[in-house]
Amino acid sequence: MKKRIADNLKVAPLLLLVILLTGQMDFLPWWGFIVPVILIGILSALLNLQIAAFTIGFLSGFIVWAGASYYFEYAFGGTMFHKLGALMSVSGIVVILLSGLVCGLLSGLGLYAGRLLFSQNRFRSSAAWED
Amino acid sequence: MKRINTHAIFPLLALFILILALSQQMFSVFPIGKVLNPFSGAVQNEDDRALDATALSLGNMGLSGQVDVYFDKRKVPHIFASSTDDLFFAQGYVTAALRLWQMDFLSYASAGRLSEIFKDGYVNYDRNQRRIGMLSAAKSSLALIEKDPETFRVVSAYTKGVNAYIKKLNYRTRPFEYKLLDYDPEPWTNLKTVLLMKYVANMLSGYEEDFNMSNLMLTLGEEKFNKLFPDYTDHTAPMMPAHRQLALQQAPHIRQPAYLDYSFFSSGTVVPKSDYNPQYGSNTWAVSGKKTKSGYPILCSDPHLALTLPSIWVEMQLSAPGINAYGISIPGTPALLIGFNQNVAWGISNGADDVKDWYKLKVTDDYTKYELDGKWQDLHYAIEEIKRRGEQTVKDTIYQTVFGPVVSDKHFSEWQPDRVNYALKWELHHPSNEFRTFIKLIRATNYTDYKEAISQYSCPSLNFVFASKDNDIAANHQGKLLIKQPGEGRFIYDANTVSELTAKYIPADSLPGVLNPACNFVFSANQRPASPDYPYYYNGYYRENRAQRIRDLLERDSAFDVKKMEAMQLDNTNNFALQALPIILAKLDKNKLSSDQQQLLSRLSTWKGTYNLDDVNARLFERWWKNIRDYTWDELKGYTFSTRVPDDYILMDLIEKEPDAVYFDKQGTSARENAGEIINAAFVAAVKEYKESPARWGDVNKVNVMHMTKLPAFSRPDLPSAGFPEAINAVSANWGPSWRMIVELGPKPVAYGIFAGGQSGSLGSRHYDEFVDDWNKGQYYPITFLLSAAEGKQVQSAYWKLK
Repeated sequence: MKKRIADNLKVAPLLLLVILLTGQMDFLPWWGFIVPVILIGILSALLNLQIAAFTIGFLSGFIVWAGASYYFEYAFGGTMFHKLGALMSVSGIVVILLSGLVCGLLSGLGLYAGRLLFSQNRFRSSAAWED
Repeated sequence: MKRINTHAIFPLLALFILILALSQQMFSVFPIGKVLNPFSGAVQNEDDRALDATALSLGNMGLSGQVDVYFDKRKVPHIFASSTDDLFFAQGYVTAALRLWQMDFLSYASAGRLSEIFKDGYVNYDRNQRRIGMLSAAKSSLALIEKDPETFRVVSAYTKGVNAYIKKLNYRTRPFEYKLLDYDPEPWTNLKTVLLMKYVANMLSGYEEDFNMSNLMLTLGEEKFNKLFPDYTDHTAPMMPAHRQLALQQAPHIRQPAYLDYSFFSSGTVVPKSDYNPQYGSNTWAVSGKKTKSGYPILCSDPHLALTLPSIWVEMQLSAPGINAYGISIPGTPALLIGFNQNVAWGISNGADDVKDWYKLKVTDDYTKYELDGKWQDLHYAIEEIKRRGEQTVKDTIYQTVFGPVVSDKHFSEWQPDRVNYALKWELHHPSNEFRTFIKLIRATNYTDYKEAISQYSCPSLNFVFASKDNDIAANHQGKLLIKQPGEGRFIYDANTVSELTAKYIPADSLPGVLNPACNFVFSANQRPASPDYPYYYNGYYRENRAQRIRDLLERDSAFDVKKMEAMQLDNTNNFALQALPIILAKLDKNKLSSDQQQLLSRLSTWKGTYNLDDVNARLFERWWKNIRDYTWDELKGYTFSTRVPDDYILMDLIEKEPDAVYFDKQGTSARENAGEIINAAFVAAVKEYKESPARWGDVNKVNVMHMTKLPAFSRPDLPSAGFPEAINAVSANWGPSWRMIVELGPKPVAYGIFAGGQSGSLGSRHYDEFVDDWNKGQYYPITFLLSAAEGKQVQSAYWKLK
C-alpha cells in the first residue's frame, strides 16, 4: 500500500511537469503531451512501479489544463472562457473544467495504454486500471 | 525484449480516436481539444502583452529603415517611418496585428469564398458574389492599379507588411476566429486589398429599386407615379446651397418607358428581396473660421455603417516624409478614409446615387445567344471555381453580356429567383483606383491638393467634405455618374432598346460641388447633391431629413466650437417629426378622443421631436405616424410586389394640401375617409399600442454591436440607446454613426473621435470592445495627434520598433 502511494507520488509530479513543459512548446500539436505520457506509462511498467495509471494520469492532466486555463484567464484578465461558455450556454467555469476533462481523459488513457503496452501479465495490466 | 501486449490496443485506439475527434469541428462545435488547450488555444488570445510592451523589437522584416510605432493609451498606433514604402509596410503589419482575421474574412466574403471556411450553407452566397461580379471587378481594378506606380507601391508595401505579420504567427498567436472555425490564415495579396474596397463599394452602391419602380409605374400609371414617387420634393436641402432659392422648382416629369408594359414585364408581380440597406449613409459638414469661436475651421464626420465587432474602422496616425495624418482606415486597405493632417481635414458620406441597373434579356434556351437591339448576339461565359471545405469544388458558369453578368439564370435561380435572365450593369464592375484618392488626401496641404486627390475617384460615389487651415471649405459629390434622361435608371431596361443607352459620364468638372459658400458652411448627409437647376439628370436614394436639420443648426449659430459640434453630432431630433407634428395635430379632431388619449396628446403636442434615451413621446409619435402611413398607403401594400411606399414628405404634403385625396380612403370600409379621419384612427390605435410596451425610447431602441459571425456570445447586443435613423445621431438596431470625428484646424489640429468598438480585433483582448459603452453614451476621446516621433515617447503606453 505504502509502495503504491509512494510510486503514485513519484509519477504524478513527473506527469505534471511533462504536460506543463510540452504545453510551452509552440511547435508541438495540441496533443503533444501524449507521447511523453505514454513513455512514462511504459517506464512505470518496466520499473514495476505500482500506480493507478488512469487515475493518476487523469488527475495530472486535469490539474494542468484546468489549472493553466484558470491561471491564464486570471493573469491576462480576459473573458475568453466566459465567452466560450456563453457560446455553449454554460458558465465560464464549466468550460475551464471541460478543458481539464479533455487533458485528463487523454493523459489518463495515455498513461494507462503506455503502462499496458509492454506488460506481460494481463491481471497486472488490468490492475493498473483498478489500483 | 518484451513483446507488445495486445490488450494495449484498445486504449491506444480510444486515445487515437479521441485525439482525432477533439482536433476537428464536429456537429458545428469548435475543435474542443485545440481550442481548450490553455497553452495554445482560446485563452492565449487574451494575451495583450504586445500592446503593453514598452519596447518590442521586431526585426528582419526587410524595411529600409527603422519604423517607430507608439501606441497611446487607447492603443491607437502612431507610426513614424523614414520612407513611404516603410510607412505602408508598417501600416499593413500593425493593422494585421490588430485585425488580421476581420480583414481576411471580409476578403473571403467579398470574393465569394466563404465555402472554403464554412462546411455548409454558403455555396449559393459564393455563387451570387461571383455572379454579381465582385471577384472579376476586383481583378480588373487591380490590373488598373498595377499601372499606377504610386498606388501599386503603396498597396504592395501594405501587402508585404501584412504578410510579415502572418509569417510570425503560430497556432497560439493566430486570431481566435481561425481556431474557432478551424482554418489557417492564408498569405495576403494585393487582390485581397482591392476586394475590401469592392466590399465597401458593394455595401454603399448595391441598393436599387428598379423592379419596384417598374412595377409601380406599370400599376399606377405615369400621372400617379410622378405624384407619389417624384425624383424629389420641396423638402430638399441640397449640398450646393447657392442654388437653394431654386429648390421649389418642379421635379422632372418621369415618362413611362415605351417598352415597359405587361407583355414586357409579365413576371413583375414579385420584387426580389434586397440584402442592401439604403440607409447606410453619413453626416459630414465643415464650417469656415468665420463661424467659429477660434477663427479656425471645424470639420465633423460620422459615417453610418453596420456596427460590428471588430469595428469596420481602425484608428491610426501615419507619418513619413511628406505625410503626417491621423484618421481611420478600413483594415486591409492602406491610407486613411476619413481624417486630417496639420493643414487639412476631410470627411465622406455616401453619394447614394443609382449606379446599378438591370437589363431584361431574351436568351436562347441553351444560353448561347441573347437578343441585343433586335439582333442575336453570342452569349459569352466564364467558369468560376468555388472551392468547398471538405467537398468537391463547384464549377459555376457565368454568362456575360455587353451590359454585365447574368446574375440569375435557369441553372442558378435560388438566390434571386425573380431576376432570372436579367443582366446587371453596375459602376462597381468598371476598373477603378479608389486608393489613389486616399493616398493623396493624407498628403494634401490645401484645396488644390484636395481637388486633385478626388479628381479620379469613381465608385462608390461619395460626398467629400473638406476644410483647410487657410479657411477653405468645400463639398464635392464625386464619382462616375452616367449622363441620363429623366427617369432613366429608375426602371429595368429592355436589352432590345440598347441603342437608347448612353455611355457618357457627367464631366468631372461638372459634378456637384461647392467651395467657400457665402453661408460659410458646407454639409452632406446623403441628400440630393445639387438643386433642380443642375443641368444633368441623376437619380438615387437620397435622404433629406438629416440634411435639413444639419443645415438649420449650422445656419442658427455663428460661434461654433468643439462642444457645440459634439452636441450637433449627438442631436437626436427628427426634423421630419418637427415638421409633421403640427400638421397632423391640426388635422386631429380632439373631441373624438377619450380623456386618456387627450392627456397623451397634450404631452405629445409639446414634444420637440427628440429621440433621447428617456424620451416618452418618441415612441408614441412613431406609432402614430406608422399607422397614418399604413392606413394611407394600404392600397399600395395590397400589391404583392410592393415593398416601397411613397416618401414621408409626400404623405405630409398630401395631408396638408390635399386632405381629401383618394389615398386616405381606407380599403375595406364603406365610408370614404379623409386625412383627418385617418389621423384620428391612427392616433387611437397608436395609444393602444403605446400602452402595451415600454414608453421610454431607450427601452425600445436597442442597438446591437454584433460580431461578424453574428454569434451573440461575441457581441454587445441590446444596448439601450438614444438616436433615430432620421436624426443626425442616426443610431439604429445594427447600424449607425460607426465613427464620430470633430477636428478644429489651427496651429495644431485639435480633434476628438470615437468609434463603436475597440482597437483590437482579438476577442480575448481588453481592447476588443472597450469604446462601445462610451460611444453609446455619446462620449468623445481627445485624439492624440503627434507632430513628431519625439512626442510619441511622451504619450506611449506601448512601443514597437520595426526593422
